[in-house]
Amino acid sequence: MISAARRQNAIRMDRSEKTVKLLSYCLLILALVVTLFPMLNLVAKSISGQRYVAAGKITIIPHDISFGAYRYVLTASRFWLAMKNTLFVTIMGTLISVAVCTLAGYALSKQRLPGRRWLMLMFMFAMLFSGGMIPTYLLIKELGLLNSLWSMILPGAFSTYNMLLLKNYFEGLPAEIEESAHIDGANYVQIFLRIALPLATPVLATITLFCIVSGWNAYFSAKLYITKQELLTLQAYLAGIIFESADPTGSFQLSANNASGLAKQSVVDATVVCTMLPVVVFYPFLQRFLVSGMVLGSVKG
Amino acid sequence: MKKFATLFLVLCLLLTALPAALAEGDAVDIRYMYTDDSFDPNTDLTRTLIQEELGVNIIPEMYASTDQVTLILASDQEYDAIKINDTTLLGTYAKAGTITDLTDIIMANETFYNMFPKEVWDMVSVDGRIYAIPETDTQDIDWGIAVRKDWLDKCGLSLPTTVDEFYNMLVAFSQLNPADVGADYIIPFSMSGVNSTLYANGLIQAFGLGGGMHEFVVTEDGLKNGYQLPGGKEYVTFMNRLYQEGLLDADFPANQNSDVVERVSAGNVGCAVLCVWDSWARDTLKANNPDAELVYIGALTKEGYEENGRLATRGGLKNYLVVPATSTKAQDVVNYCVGFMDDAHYTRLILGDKGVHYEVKDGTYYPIFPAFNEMNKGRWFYPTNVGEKYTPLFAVRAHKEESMGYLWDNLNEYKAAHGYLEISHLCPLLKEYSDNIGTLTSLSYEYLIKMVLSADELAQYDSFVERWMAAGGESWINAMNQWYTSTH
Repeated sequence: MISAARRQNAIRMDRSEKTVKLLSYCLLILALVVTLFPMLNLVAKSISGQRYVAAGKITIIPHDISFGAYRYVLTASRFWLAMKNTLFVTIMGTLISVAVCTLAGYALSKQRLPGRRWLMLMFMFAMLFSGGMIPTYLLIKELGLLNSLWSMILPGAFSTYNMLLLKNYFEGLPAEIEESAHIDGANYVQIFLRIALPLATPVLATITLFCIVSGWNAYFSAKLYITKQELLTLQAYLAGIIFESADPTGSFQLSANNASGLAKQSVVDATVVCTMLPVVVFYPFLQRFLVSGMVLGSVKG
Repeated sequence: MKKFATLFLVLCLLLTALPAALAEGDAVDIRYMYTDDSFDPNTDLTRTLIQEELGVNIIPEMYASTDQVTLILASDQEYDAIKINDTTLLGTYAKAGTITDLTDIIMANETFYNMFPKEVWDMVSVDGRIYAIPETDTQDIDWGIAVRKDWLDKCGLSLPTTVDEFYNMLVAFSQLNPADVGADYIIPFSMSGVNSTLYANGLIQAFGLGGGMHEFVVTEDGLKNGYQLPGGKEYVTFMNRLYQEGLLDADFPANQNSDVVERVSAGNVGCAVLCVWDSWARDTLKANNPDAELVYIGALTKEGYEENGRLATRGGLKNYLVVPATSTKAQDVVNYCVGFMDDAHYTRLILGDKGVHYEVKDGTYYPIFPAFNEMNKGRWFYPTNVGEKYTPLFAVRAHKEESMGYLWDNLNEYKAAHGYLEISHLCPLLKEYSDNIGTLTSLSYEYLIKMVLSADELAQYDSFVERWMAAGGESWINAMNQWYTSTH
C-alpha cells in the first residue's frame, strides 16, 4: 500500500514537474520567437525584391529573392574601411583593456599592497562620478587624440567594473597555491603569469567578451571625436545609412543610382545584417564562459 | 669661369623651381567641414574640379551633429569653414565670439552681395553684422498630392481643380472600387499625421492658408497664420469630415511618411500627400501593376477664399557657412564662395563636363550615366548657392532615376502658375519664435490630430486657438508682423 502511495506521489511529482517543464519550454519558445522574429524579418527584407519590400508585404518569408542589397553593401569601399577600423578598435581595445584591468585587479587583490584602500576609493569615485561629456572632450583634444582611433580605445581602456570582477576572482583563489609556487622559487611575475592567469580563464573570457561587444558597438565616441570619414566605425557608418534612408529630402535616393531596383529598406537591412553577423558568429564560442564568469568572483567563501 | 658656371646652375635650378613654387603659392588649403555623408570626400571628383577651377584645396571633414560643431568652436579648433543648417545657433556662436564677422569682406564684393536679397543677408546677420555666407534652396515644388490616374480613368473623372471636385473624387474612389481590391481595402486619401500641422500642399492653400496651420499669409491687415484666418477652422473641419466619412486613411494619426509611401506602393491608395523623392512608390506600384500611374493634382481652389490656388515651393535659407574665429582665412573662404558662384566655373563645378556628365535636351538638363555618378555627392562641397541659379541645374539630379524625374517634372509643371515661397522662409530668426516654437508645435501636433479624429474636440477649436495664442503664438505673430512692416 505504502509503495503504491509513494508511486502515486512520484507520478504526481512527475506530472507537476512535467507541467513546469512544459510551461518553461513554452515560455522559452515564445521568447525565442520574439527575439528571432525581427532578425528573420530583417534577413527576409534584405533578400527580397523591391516590389514586395516597398509595399510592406514581407514578414519572415522572402519573395522574389535577390542579393543585390548585399552586393551593394559589400562592394562599398566605405563599408570595408569601417570594418577595418572597427576590427582595430575591437582587437586593440580588448587587448589593452583586459591587460590593464587584469594587472590592476591582481594588484588590488593583494591585502599587503600599500595604499590599497585609497586606490580603490579613487577607482570607485571615478566610476561613480565621471567628468561629463565636455570636460572629457576637452581632455581628448588636449591629448591630441581627436581624429584618432585611439580616442575610442584609450578613454575606456580601464573599466572599474571589469577590474572589480577580476579583483574579486583573484581574491577567491587559495593563497596556498601562490605560497607554494613562491616556495618553489617562482617570482611575482611568474606567479601572476603561470598560476593566477591560467586559473582566471573564465573571468578573463567574460571580460574579453564585454570588451569585444563594447568595441564592436563603438558609436558615441566615434560620432564625437572623429570628423574624418576614413576613421568612422561600422556602427557610425550604419547609423549614417539609416539616417540617410529616412531623410525625406531625398539624399539617399539622389545618391543611390547604382542601387536602383533595390528597396532602400533592403539596403539598410543588408547593412545591419553584415554589421551584426561577425558578433553573432563569434558570440556562441565565448557565451558559455559568460554566465559562469559573471558569477565567479561575485561570492567569496 | 667656374663661378659663372655655378651661378648659371643656381639660376637654372631657381627657374625650374619657380613655377612649382608659384603654383604652391596659389593653391589655398581650406579646412572645410559639413555634416557626415556616405562617400569618400578625399577622392571625390568635385574636390578635384574645385582644385582645378579655383585653385582651392579642400581638406574635408565631417561632423555628426551640431553639438559636435559647438564643441569644436568652443574648444578653438582650427577649421576654416563650417557649413551648418541650424539657424538657431548662429546668434549663439556670434555672441560667443567663436565665428568671424564677415561684413567688411562681403561688402567689399558688391557682385557677390547682390546675389542674395537683403532678407537672406538679414537671416545670417546678428546685430546688423554679417556672420555667415548663405546658401538658398532650390525653387521647386517637392511635395504635392499624387493621385492614381488609372483610378481616375476608371471612375470617369478628370484631375480635380477645386476642393469640391477633390471630395467627389474621394467619394468615387470609395464607392466605385476602381482597384478591384474590395471597398474595405481602399484608402481614398492617405497622409501622415505624425508631427503634422496638416500640410497637404495644394489643398490647405485652397482655404486661404499657407502650407500648414503655422504658416503665414500676407493680408491687408498684415501677416496672419492659419489660426487667425477663417479658413483655418474650415480646413480642420473638412479634414474631420473626410476622416468621419472614411475618406481619409483610418491610420492617419499614426502614419509616418514611410507608412504612407508603403500604402501607395501596395496599390491601395487613391491619392496621397507624397514627396517626389519617394519615387520608389511609383516604381513598386508599376512593378506590381503596369497599368497603374501616379499624377500630381495641382493647386486646388475653393469659392469664397482669396490667396488660394497655390503650391508652396522650396526656397529661402537652406544652410550657412561660418568661418571660425581661429581661422586666418576668412578672405580665402569668401573668395572660394565668389569663385564658386562665378559663371566661368559654376556649371562645371555643379555638373561636370557637358557631353560627358550631363546633356541638355529642350532646355532641360539630364545626367549621363555612368559618368554622372562621379558628380553624385558633389553638392557636399558647395560652400554657398543661389537657389534661383541652381534650380535649372538641379534638374540633372532630379532626373537621376526615371520615376523621380517623372514625378518632379509632373509636379513642377504647376510651378509657373501656382508656385509661391512661404513668407516665413525669408524671415530671420525671431526671439519670440525660438522661445515659443517648441510649445506651440507640441500643442498643434496634439490637438490638430484630435480635432480631425473627434467632433467633440473640433467643437473646442476656438478655445484651443485662445490657448495656442496665450502659449506664445500671439507674441510670435506680433513679432512676425513687426519684422514684415519694417522690411516691406
